[in-house]
Amino acid sequence: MKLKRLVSTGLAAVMALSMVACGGSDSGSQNTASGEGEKVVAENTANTDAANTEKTDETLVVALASEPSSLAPTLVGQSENESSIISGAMLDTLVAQDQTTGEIIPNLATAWEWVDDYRLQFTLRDDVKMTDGSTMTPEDVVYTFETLASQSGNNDGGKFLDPSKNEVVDEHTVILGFNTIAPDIITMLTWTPFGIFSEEEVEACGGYEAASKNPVIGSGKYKFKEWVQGQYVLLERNEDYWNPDYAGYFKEIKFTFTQDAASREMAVEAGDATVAYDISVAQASTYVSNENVKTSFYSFGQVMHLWMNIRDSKPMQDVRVREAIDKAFDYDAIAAYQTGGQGTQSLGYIDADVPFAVDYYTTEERAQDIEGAKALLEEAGYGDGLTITALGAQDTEGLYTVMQAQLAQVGITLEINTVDIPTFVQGANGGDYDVIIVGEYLDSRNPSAWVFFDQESIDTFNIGGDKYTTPEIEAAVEAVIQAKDNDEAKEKVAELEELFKKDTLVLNLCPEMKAVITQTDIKGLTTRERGFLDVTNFYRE
Amino acid sequence: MIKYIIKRILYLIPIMLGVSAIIFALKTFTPGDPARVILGNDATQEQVEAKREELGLNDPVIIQYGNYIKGIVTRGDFGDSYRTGNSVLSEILPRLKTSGLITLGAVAIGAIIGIILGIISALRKYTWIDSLVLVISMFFQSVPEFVVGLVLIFIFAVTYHLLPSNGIETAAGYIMPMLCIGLSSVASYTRITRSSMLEVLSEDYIRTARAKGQTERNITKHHALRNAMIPVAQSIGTNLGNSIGGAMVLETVFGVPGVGKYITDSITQRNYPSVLGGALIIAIVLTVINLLVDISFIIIDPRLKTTIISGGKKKVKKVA
Repeated sequence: MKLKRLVSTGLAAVMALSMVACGGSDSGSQNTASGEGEKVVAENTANTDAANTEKTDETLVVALASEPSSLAPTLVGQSENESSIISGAMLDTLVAQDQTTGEIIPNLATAWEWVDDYRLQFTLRDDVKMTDGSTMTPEDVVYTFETLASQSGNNDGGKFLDPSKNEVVDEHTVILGFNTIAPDIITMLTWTPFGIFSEEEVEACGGYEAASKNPVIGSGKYKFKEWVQGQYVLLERNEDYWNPDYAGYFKEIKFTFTQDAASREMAVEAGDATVAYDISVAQASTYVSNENVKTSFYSFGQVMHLWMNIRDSKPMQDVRVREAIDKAFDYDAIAAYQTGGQGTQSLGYIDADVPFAVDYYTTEERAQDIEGAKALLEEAGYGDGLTITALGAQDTEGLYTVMQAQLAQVGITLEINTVDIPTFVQGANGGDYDVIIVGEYLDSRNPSAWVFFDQESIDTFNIGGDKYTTPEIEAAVEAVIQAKDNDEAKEKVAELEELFKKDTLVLNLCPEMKAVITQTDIKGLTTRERGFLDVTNFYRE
Repeated sequence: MIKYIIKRILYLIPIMLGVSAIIFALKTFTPGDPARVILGNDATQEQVEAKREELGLNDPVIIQYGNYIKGIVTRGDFGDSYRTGNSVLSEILPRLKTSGLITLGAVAIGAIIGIILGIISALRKYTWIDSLVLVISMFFQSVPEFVVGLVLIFIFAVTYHLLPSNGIETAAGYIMPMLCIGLSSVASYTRITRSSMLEVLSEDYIRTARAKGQTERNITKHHALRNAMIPVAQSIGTNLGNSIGGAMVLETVFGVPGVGKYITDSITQRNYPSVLGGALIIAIVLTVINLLVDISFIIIDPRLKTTIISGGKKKVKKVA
């Protein structure tokens, strides 16, 4: 009897506590039921709202997942997503990219032209003030690019710079050199790592290492103010910013670091943060009905692909097995899962929104065909079943589970090996898998985005594993990079797609998406390269 | 007593050697190249090899281990973080202070609530109050701490805006992490206090006190409580260690820059000097805490002096 009493008392307590906990979250569901509409938007446009002309004393608080190890990573040869977001507010680039049209637009440079295949000449603005009050000079630009080549020669586009070709032409003109022919390489110069700083600024900070921790450098919309390690990074509005059309609504931008995504979302709900970044699409989908926050999804020119390890895996060397996997997939279901219902399957290797992309497949030819897959497996000698291994990090585990169920229908057992990032990188490089999901960012034809197909890179190291390539594929990729314009590039991409398609080398899954949670009255969500948040354009309605 | 303290401090040597040896062994078997993590994914294999050489990662593990221990012993150098280049000690000490504050606060909250509930439970033994107390305390022990953490954020930050949802910029930021860890240990304090109180209350000297006409309040306050607190004090020492473990999980939920988060992040980044340094410093802190707890036992109950110092061995007098 005593035990009975104990159990019932316990249950009552548990229920009472559960009701307290559920009572709050119910508010979101009630709002959905009231039919006030979903808060899903797919924003990826430039901040052109005329309403954003006001300057306030408010602080924008951006909740990031982790703290970077430096704030100017290119100075110390590093590359981190969080530091790209933070330094993007402090460092301004020679040219920018219109996020709506993809067009390259003037920024610190007012004009540019190719001198020859390897040299690009820029005309600089004469009213750009650096943090120390000095005016930006062509020497500053040359110093920046020399630093990039020496410190970050192995990162991003640093490897394509050729400092020996750099030249100061006059007080407003500079020539920058590259070591490869790539007409679209200028897109790379819109990326944050190519933000301009001066030698005097770096020296005043105490050198590269010190400047990476205390970056009083650049000419961007915001200036570095404070970094309390482990707690926050604080930037303040650059009142001397050269562009009078830019308002800079928030006086300060504060970055905080909380690893748990649910905590970051709740920080926005509680009013402690204005924006929560790096929320998985699957998790963000659960906040859509919560009227206390605004959930935004966006794609950023990256497509998720399933690569098959043709080099090391015997089953994958058989084209019939690769075709069977292709036929076993329900690509609509895969896309619906991975994008939280926001995106559709990718019909080409490159994201459909990219100007030189080609939809080389049709949904009909990619329709699921269970019997066809089984027949191919039977023919390949795997009629009794086949077991393959997938390598992935945490972010692909769910998607692999969807694939696992689909492959099981045709007799393929997919063993999912989910590991942390360093183990993933090592396993991918070592070919320790049969299939692997990799997201590839190919929104431009700058060569740094295409190194996946370069045999030399593959022989040394390539994140996401050794892509299968041939001299034919390498030549096709080179033709895409060297195409004069997007129309020509489109033709070359079609030729590349045909090479992939004819041997079923890679399966295009869906666009990769990101999600951001903001306070409901926040507008001006814009992004930079690779979907990084551009924090400088936020404002309140 | 001093001899005993010195002996306990000397115990640190095998503990540190053991902890560092285990982590070094794990480092050898764990996939993921620190040089690759430092240089990034675009670095060539040659650059990675050069970095490995620079960091001494190509040396035999026993040489690496020897160099590491030598650095600690001769220079107090726990190495430099692969990620930031800063001294590991300089990165850990401020974080240790943060984690220490949270842990102490959590233990205080857990002990105060647990002791009060345990006393109530013992004094109202076998009543519905006794059952309710046990169920509530068991509930907080059973629910994972990060779930309690999220519920606390929801209640105190999102709904009532009483406390900050994350960070420790203000003192208020410490409250929820402390509360969260503290609540999870309430059950153990409650049970220990209850059983200890029940045991003491059935002692002969309590019966004598009652026979002499003392009030129940006086008996509880002056006779039962002090004696019943000895096992509770012992469990506080043990819980300090457990609470540091709990803090590691909660630091990711509350965005607290503590030593736990530092170590877990370092593991993900294959930042072995930071992992090693963090683990060794925690081992030192826990050993010192245990020593202080043992000393506090002697102060609370001088009868324990012989047991603790002799390690439970009684001296047998030789009879001629």
